Amino acid sequence: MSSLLLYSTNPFMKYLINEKYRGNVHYVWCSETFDSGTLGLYGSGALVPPTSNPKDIFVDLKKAVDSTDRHNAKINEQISGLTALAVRWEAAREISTRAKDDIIYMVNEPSYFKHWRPLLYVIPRPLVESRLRPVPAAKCASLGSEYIIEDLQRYEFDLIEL
Amino acid sequence: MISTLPSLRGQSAKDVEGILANLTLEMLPNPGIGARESPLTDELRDRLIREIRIRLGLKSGDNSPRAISRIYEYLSSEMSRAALSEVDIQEIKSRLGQQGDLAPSLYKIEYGDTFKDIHERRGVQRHNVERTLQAPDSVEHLHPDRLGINADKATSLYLKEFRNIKRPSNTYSLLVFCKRSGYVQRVGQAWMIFHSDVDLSRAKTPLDVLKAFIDKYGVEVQVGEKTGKFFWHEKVPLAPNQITNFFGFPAPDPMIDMSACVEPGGIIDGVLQIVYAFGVNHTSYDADLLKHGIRLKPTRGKRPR
Repeated sequence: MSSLLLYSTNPFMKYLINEKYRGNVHYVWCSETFDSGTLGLYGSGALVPPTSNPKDIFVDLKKAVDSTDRHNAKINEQISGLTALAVRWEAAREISTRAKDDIIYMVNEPSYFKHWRPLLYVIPRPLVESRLRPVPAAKCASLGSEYIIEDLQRYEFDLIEL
Repeated sequence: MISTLPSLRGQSAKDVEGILANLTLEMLPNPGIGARESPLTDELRDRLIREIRIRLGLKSGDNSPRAISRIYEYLSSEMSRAALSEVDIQEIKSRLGQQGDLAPSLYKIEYGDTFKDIHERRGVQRHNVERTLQAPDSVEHLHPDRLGINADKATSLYLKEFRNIKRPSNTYSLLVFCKRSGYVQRVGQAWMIFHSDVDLSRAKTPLDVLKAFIDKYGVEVQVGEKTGKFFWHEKVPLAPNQITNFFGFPAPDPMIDMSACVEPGGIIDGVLQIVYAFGVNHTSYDADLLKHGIRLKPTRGKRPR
């Protein structure tokens, strides 16, 4: 049976950029469980590894921000990803050159480090069921169920910051 | 030189940022949904990764999380350098500052006469103001544009608790009024609010703390036809062709030293918008400050207010 809720961990910085520059539309990668470690050994969610498990991503980001670990792998991946996306969005005329400059400045400026703190998105599944795109098993980091939602609207999820 | 990678030498900043953005997006985890465009040739992609690995001293087969993380770090740094090479950073800071999106530590802090004449004399230290602005417990941005006030007059309230473990009765919260103009924050009022003197148990926001402070030390003021201790987003109709006294003290007591704090806004359809207005009884406030060992300092050549 599929779960009623979906979970996705994202840094506050990514949330802010989607809110301010992408019309509050959010691209997320989500899972059916918050913490696959709490499931039975043979449940499919238990097969979600730390790299995809929302709880592990949350703990990793929070620890990195609390200890000002500027070499955290997940944060470096997000910084380069958002920088590259800003370039691509501007090239596609989806954002202005000023917006691109502002995004690149914010994500690369060390003074914004606290903006990499994690937020948990809790998404009621019925609202997004028709737009869930299962991540092909070959591309998953695990055998657990993972999905992409390319156009998650702000009213379709709740935000939790711990 | 925009990039020191041999394959990108001589390329324009725009080309460098575009090529590195494509390389980055190809390297990132791919959900495998839909076709991912790949404008880079395999040959260029492999050559760039090889050059980056040499630059970082990474072995060609090292795909450890640490190695990949260092490559991402290098890519974002190079993209940022190329993209912002001809951009005025102060302009970006001004834009972000005006939107309230600048990181607190990036604002330039200036001190106005109100701070120097009233608050510095009452023991408020600049380094504590700076700590409050850079790492506040909470911030409240007032939005004057909704009151017809130019965004240049945007005021923010910053709050930070300064705990005194040895003498808990000396624990206080510092409430700082700041006007943002681009990336400059101009400090005006800065009140030390001692928890042993003012009941903050129900205060959840900086505005709540201000109200609790005025409840204790406020004096009656008049705004338009109304009197009260505290006015927030008040409107005063202006009579045509007449001078309207929009603010004053209805019953000034010559024995009490007090100051007025009022921020008028724009006039919309003959109505004056007031962001906030209140008066403070300094005689009472200063007496409480003295209990905490804070003595009023002499003025800077002006009459004490």
